[in-house]
Amino acid sequence: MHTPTKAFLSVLSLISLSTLAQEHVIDTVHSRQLDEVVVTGQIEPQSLKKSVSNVRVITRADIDRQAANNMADLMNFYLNINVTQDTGQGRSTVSMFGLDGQYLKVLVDNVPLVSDTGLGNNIDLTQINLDDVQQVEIIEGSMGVTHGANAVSGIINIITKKSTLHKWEINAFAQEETVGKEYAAFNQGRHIQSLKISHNISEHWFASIGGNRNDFSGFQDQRGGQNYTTSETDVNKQRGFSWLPKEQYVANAMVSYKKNQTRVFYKFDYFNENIDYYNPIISIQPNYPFWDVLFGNDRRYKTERLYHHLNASGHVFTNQTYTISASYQKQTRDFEDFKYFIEERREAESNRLTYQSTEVAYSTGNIANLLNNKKFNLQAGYEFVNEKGFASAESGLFLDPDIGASDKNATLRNLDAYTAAEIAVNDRFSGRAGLRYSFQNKFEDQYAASVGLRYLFDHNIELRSSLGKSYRSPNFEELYTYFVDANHDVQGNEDLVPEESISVEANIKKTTDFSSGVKMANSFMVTYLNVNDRIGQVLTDATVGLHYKYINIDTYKVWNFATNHQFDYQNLSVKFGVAIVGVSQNIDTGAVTSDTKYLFSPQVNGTLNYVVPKWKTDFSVFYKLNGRQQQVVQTDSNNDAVLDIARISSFSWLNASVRKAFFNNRFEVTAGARNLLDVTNVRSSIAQGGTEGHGGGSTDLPTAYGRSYFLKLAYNINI
Amino acid sequence: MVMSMKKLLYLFLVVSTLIITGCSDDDTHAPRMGVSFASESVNLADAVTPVSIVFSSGAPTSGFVTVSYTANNVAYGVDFTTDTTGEGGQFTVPFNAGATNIAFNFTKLADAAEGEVKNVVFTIAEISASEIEITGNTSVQLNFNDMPSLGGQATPSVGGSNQPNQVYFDLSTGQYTAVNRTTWDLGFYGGTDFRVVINGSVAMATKQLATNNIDLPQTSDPTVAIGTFDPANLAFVDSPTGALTGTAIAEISANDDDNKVYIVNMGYSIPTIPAAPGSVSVAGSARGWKKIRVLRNGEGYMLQYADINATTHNTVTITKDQAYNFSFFSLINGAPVQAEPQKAAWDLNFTTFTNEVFSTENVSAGSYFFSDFVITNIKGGAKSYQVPTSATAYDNFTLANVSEANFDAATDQRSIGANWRNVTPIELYSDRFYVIKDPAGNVYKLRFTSMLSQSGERGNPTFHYALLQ
Repeated sequence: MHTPTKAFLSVLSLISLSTLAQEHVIDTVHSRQLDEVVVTGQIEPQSLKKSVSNVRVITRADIDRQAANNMADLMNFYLNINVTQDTGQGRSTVSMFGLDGQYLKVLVDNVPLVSDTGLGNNIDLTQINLDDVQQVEIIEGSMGVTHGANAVSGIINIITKKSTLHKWEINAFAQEETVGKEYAAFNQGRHIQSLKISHNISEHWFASIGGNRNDFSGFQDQRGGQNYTTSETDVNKQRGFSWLPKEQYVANAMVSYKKNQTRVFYKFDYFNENIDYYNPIISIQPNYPFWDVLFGNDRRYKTERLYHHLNASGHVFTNQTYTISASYQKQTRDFEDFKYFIEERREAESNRLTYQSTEVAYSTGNIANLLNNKKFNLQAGYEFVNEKGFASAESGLFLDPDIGASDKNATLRNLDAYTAAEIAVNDRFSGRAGLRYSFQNKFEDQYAASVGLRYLFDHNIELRSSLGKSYRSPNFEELYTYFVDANHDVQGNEDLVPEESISVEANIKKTTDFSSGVKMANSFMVTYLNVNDRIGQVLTDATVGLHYKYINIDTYKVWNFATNHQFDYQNLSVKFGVAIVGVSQNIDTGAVTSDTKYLFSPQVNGTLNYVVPKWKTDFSVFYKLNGRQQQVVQTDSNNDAVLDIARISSFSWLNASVRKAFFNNRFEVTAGARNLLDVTNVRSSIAQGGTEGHGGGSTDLPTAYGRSYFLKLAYNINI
Repeated sequence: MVMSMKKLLYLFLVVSTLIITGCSDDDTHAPRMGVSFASESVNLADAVTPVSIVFSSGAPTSGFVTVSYTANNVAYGVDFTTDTTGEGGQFTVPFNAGATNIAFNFTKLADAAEGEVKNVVFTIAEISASEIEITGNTSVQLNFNDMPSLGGQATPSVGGSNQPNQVYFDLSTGQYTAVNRTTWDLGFYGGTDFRVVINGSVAMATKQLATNNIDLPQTSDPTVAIGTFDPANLAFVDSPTGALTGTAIAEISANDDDNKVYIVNMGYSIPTIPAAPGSVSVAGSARGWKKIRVLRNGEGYMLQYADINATTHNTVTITKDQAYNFSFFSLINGAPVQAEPQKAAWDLNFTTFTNEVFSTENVSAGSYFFSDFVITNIKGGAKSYQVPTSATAYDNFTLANVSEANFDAATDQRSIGANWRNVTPIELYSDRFYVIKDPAGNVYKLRFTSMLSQSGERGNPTFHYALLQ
């Protein structure tokens, strides 16, 4: 794995060096291509250059080049972002700066998206379909002022398409993928079909509907699949799948109305997912005096999500703009347990229950340019969240020996008021300050603050700096766990307070246009992020038995140094970046305290894109090196607890694709390969994922299922 | 325009077809059908005994089963008859379509004298429906005298996820005795030694005090408990190996002054709320504290006991009974109680158990409360050991495979223990089985077939066992 990494890096540096050597610099207005319009964290949509905060954009073209169907397909190639697989439950979650999905907020059109266990956080990326997406915007750092709770490590805002150029646009595609080496027409590999119809009904009205099916047949790997029982030759072979089969359906509809400055849209999204779990443990049904009847205690994970979003925006008075959103969302995760009699291929005793659900009523709105002053844009807004959470007794977390296991319901409600002001001192210098105050029903009131500065120097040098504050609310498990029996005592803590975060970022960027037509952008960034009052499970009493409780105790500090570079010359575009992230954790388990030294992990990414207009063909290569990661893990939960550093070996992602349009762009073929370096499991120096006190876990972390290939055929009609 | 719509329609059809065909289900398989005798051996207690033949599922057609027999030291018409005439050495038993159970009657005409070996072995020779396999107990042995059971299936009634019972199982008779775990608190050894055990199945613990004055008020000591993850707490519980020399209460001395007062943590009551499928809930509310002092009383014991803070005490004498491992006493009810069967009349005890737990290999974390435990009656003379299926498959294991050396080495009552199952994840290990020699010398092989009920409730073990001969 090392050699291709080096080779790739040297190719990149050769390209950059030769570009620099041949050209001399002149200043011009830089290209449209490098100056995208962003909305995330802005008072009003504006160009990336004008933005005070540092926004990364993933465009529709990037999505199409990768033939990415969901967010998990897409996010692997971005710096400081890691996609983590839970192959046991078929979920993919995202972490930023090593902080898990609870610290990152995912929004769709500025409205946080519901998940199994929260609003905006802990999102399963595979559950976000990309068919309808215009672009994805990423901001690193604590964005509490603009995005409220849980925007600690950053935010991902998914902007959907709201209009089309033509009267009718009809897009249909079918995509076939191998899963590693596994592929067959119906029951192996990955099969995607999609249809979308958009129509400009009149000058004012627009409507679209769409549907997508994503059928992932699982990755069997060394295992035996659904109907496996035993093997004489390989006693270690297990039933089931290494990666669980998963089938997803997405349906969406949108209506929008636009007249003068007023725009109203209503968007509806329905998501349905079925994951099949085949128990590797084969059970016996006593059948004396006859043969053993073999069955698996199997399970289907069924997730359903409803998303409604009504938004209006426009002008009030003369120059004041407003936007207001109301949203109702619900996600339910059900378990359907059943026995599968293997020899008879028969299911029995099916029992379905809701395991987790979150129901959200949400509204946000703001008015910008309150003072009608070009130099001083004052914005005021509100956000209201009513989040009803449910966790089933089946989770085993709420277990009182005297009253038995119980379900848990809880409602979190908050009403926030925020204000932000953007001051343009002159064309070069602008600043931004914001404050949010959050009235909470469950926790102490919270506040968030932010300050940002932007200065444009000569020679197209942009300097930005920002300071932000946010907080993460405690989750269900941390608040309500009650697991007490003769040998265990683990208790949640309803007195927990939200974790607090502060981030500081400085960023310098230079864009350069050369007379030869070469365009270049280089940036360097430093970020510091500090999370205080982190919640940890702490041994509170060891004199008689081990008593654990969740307490606000730990700290987490991150230093991030990153550079990003982009070169464009005629039809060639090259981007690459390097990030070094250092994490210092102070973990206090009550028995031992961690070393607080910084543990550094490097990441490198790059993309190369070459277009041949004559052939209508687009060649792309995507690369990312995930350098050796170091994590603090607790290796023994008994009285000899030890905090060790687990080292996860470095590995690289490499994708390549070709996209070609035919018949006047009506027909489009994308072919490519994912994971060309054939990554499967990545080694960790210490076994991870075991259960407390009962060992288990593995030093092999399932990361990918090996090299796979895809072919996408798309048909577009524009009338 | 029309062209494009046609093309679109075509593509749409292709996509729809892919979706529909992608949803096709696997076909189901034809079920296996079998016929078998209901048991392997029967000791003939009554004059007339029905002999059952069972079908795995309802018979698909009507027909008949041909049964042949071999008579050992008995003669048809003299010592026995059957209700369908079988003088020729075989007879047929008819069945109707849908039948799951048919039977013929065996009539014993003459009893055997003690010590005689007289039996008839019936075998299913043929069945008219060829799709039904002759399988399982293809023959059954009917004994004129009491003979050790040839084996079968057993489901000791541990009682579900609260595991309320200690179940004593006797392999040679197939009998089990279920006793509520909270029935007894102290067991007084019936052999030559003077030893007293506490009830580990309710997580009791006890600590010796310096005094021998039972009437001094005492206070509870929270370290005298199990599951405290402190290796030192092993001193407060009986040795999990079952060794008498490892009891928490020191040997009862002939010199009364040496017999100190003990404070006793009475452990936990049995919860009544069942646990979720696959889980157990075996420790309920605390049963409080007592104090005791035990003295010798000739060839028996004298027990002094009281509430922990009391200034007076009760006294009771307990006699040894050589037929039993222990004589039992309930401190809660203040009365002697019957718990274990006679020591030669049980081989295995299914119970919750106070065991030792290890944090890492060979590093003790002290006592820990276990569910689904199986103790071998080593005090009564039973022995057991574990066999991995990688050495010999259960079906192929015969008397020739039995290792006397392994029996000789089996001095720990936990050789089955909790080794037969795993809890995270819930798993019955199918890669091992057990060999057990009962106090009379009969050797059985035993394999567990289930740890859960059909609805997934823990505390419902099932096993198969077979006499090796």
